[in-house]
Amino acid sequence: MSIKIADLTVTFKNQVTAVNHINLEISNGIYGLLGENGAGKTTLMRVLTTVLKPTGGTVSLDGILYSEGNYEKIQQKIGYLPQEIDLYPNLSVQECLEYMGELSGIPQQECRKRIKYYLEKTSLTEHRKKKMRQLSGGMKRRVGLVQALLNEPDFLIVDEPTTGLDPEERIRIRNLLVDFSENRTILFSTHVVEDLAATCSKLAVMKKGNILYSGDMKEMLSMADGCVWNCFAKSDIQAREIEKNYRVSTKQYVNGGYMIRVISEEKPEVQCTQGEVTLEDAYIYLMNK
Amino acid sequence: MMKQDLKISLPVYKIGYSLAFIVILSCVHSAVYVNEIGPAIDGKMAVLALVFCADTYLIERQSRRREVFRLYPIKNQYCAVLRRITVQIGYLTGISILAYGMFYWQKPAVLDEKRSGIFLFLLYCGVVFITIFFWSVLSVTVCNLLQSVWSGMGILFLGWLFLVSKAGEKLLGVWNPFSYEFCEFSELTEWKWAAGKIITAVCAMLLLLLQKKILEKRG
Repeated sequence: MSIKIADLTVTFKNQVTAVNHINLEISNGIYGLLGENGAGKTTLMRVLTTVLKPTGGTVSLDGILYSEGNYEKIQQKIGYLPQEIDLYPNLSVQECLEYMGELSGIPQQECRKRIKYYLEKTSLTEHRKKKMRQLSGGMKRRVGLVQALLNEPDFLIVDEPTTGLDPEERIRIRNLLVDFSENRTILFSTHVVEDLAATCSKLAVMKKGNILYSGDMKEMLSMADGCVWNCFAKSDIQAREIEKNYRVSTKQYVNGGYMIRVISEEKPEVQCTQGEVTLEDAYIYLMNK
Repeated sequence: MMKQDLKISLPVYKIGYSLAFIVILSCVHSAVYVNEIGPAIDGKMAVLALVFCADTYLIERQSRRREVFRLYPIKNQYCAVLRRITVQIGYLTGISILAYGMFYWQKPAVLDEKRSGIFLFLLYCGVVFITIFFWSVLSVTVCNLLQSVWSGMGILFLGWLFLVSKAGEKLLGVWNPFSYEFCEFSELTEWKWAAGKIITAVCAMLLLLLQKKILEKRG
């Protein structure tokens, strides 16, 4: 499964260009999509799900061009978890998934089998009889993910799937996505850099409708090589001074002060050592380059 | 899937306001004779139907499920909308029959022994079913086309106001969808008024068939 995006542009009626002439090739496995709010990630995903028609450029999925005549064929291959979705509040988890599965065209018996499997995988089995409105935000998110997986799509698009999940649940969902990605393509959009670092080897970074970077995670990390510094601040005042003068990726309280990770091409003028680059560091480096 | 569509289409708040509507109607609208009950309910059920069914499909948009719903095969989307319309029409027809019974607390008198209460009741059932059918499907159609529940309801309400007015009666005559409401008791068995209802039923069938196209274009 491969998705080719060529010169894609989306301009809204108010003349705002949400996606600006982007080119991207997404192949098998999990492909990360990273970017600040308003970068154009959701717009790009809405184009890929056929909900939104682009103003210019082309998209093809396994050689099938995104066009009116091909939409139904493409839609059958897609699973989608939007950023915000309120599943049927009056239905139980089981009823809701059966309903959505059957609407997808999955035969009833097969649908029940898949629901059982994915409910177990997402630790929702014991909640299957609960009404959707009785679930916590994290549980709703997991049900949302199950509905996207039900038709076992070749191309799964997930927008912030781990929002509202506790750390354990997040790991479980990440593992589920990794298992699911075998011989399939997953486009994983998130703000949580840690989720991408744990799941994918390729990613794209978007900013203001443009692609800042696309390719291997390793290459992206190497871009920030030599630009990450672990600085130690003894006091609050010193920490604030560092934050004021440099681009900071993380700040952690440690015994006797603060350990601050600074992203800078030059060595900061404070007590510091060079640090190993994480995806978060590379992302901040790239966004402020 | 019918069970799920039943739960989706008939939430508690809708059942609540629709029952309140018929209770209030049976309390505030007088019916001295049995033959006045049907015309008293028929036109008002149109308003209830247009409000009740406005969000049949747009509920997917309001709940931000539309982007997922759109990925389903169009035939399945269409069937889901048809099931929801069926459930709602069935329910509204049921409560309109209940409303008919509720008018009996006013102890209406029988005007003409030849036209028995059962005949008037059966006539009313057919008429009110067509009214509900038409206004439900029209409401789903207009709201989908406008992509707005409130705009759809507003426009249809204005249309309803015109049709039930004297001007609507004069302009459309027996072709008015509410011709049954306007006809005199003595004209009831002359069936001229049925023209309006037949046209309404045909229009409703056509609109129902159009739903698939509307879903494709505006869904």
